[in-house]
Amino acid sequence: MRTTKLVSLGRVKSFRLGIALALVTLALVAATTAARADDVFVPGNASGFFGNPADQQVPMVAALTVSGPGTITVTYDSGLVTWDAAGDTTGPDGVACPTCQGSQTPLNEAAGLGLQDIDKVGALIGVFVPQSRNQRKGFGALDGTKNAPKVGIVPGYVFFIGEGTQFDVTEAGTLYLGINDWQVGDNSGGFNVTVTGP
Amino acid sequence: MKTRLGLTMLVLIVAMPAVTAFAQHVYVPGKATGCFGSWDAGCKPLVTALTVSGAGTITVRANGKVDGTGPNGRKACWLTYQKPLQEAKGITDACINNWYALLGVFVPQSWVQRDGFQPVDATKNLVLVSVKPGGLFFVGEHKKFQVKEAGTLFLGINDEVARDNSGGFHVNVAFTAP
Repeated sequence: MRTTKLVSLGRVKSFRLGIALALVTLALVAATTAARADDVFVPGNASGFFGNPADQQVPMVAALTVSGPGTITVTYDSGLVTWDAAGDTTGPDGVACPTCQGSQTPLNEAAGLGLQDIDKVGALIGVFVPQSRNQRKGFGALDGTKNAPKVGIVPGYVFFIGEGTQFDVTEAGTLYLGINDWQVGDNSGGFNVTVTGP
Repeated sequence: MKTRLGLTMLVLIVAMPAVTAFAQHVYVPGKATGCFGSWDAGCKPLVTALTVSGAGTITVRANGKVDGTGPNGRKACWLTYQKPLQEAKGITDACINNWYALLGVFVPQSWVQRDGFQPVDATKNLVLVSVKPGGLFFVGEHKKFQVKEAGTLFLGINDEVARDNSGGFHVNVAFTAP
């Protein structure tokens, strides 16, 4: 009788241990597969020295670094950018500027367009930089065509984000966020955004 | 015998129009930097070398001198200047091996035909529609490469201060359709 009870107790203990191990494993799996979410502030002057004529070398903001392929989501939360000395403000979609013709926004530079109608001024923009470039000695999150950083960002990869976007990346790297403006010396404010990734 | 000869001639005549190959010679002056790099006011647009109507293979052969340097370029170490091929990669390393080299960029037809297009650097806000630096590549004395669509090959010089450049490259450009 006593022997039977001891055997039963042993089985119960083994069963509980198994359950505990399974729960720990589940928790670990959940922790490693859950998407990360980071809150990021993008200052109104973080143009990355893109556009023309650019006045200040303010790097773009490192928003999220991923170690491999996955989906990145950027969501605008709050904030406004004041983009000129007159106090004009905009949300993350930016605004048109009919009086700005003759200048080049970062997005127009990325598209290979110049002397165009200017729109999306002050918009939230981004660029994904592969880890191999990001980790090079002398890298700066600035326009790589302006002879400013030793290693910079090639403008062709800069893209519009606005209120938010979702996109896939195929390799490790860092998402940088910035503002679609070329003269940022008179800018203020900024955007609060949430960035999630693998 | 006459029938065979006739058939052979007929096959040749039918086949000839299907062979799409042509070549031409262009001169690339030393000032044709396309205003890439840390440019100066003396720059000239890239030179239109060849326009093709579809996929195929382009072969470039060049000779001549720019400031005494051949199409492969020469070594130089600068701390403050960015050459066009460095701009293409978004870097400003101190030393390069291709100063004055012949460079090229293939621009799709849809872009070349846009109103206001000119073969100069798109990052300088010089014209309405222009060339993104990321597409520039080293050509040197000889290069053979494939294109997947209709477009134009432009050629230029890997230098940023163009105004004092002399000489140029004589270039033969050939195209063969698949």
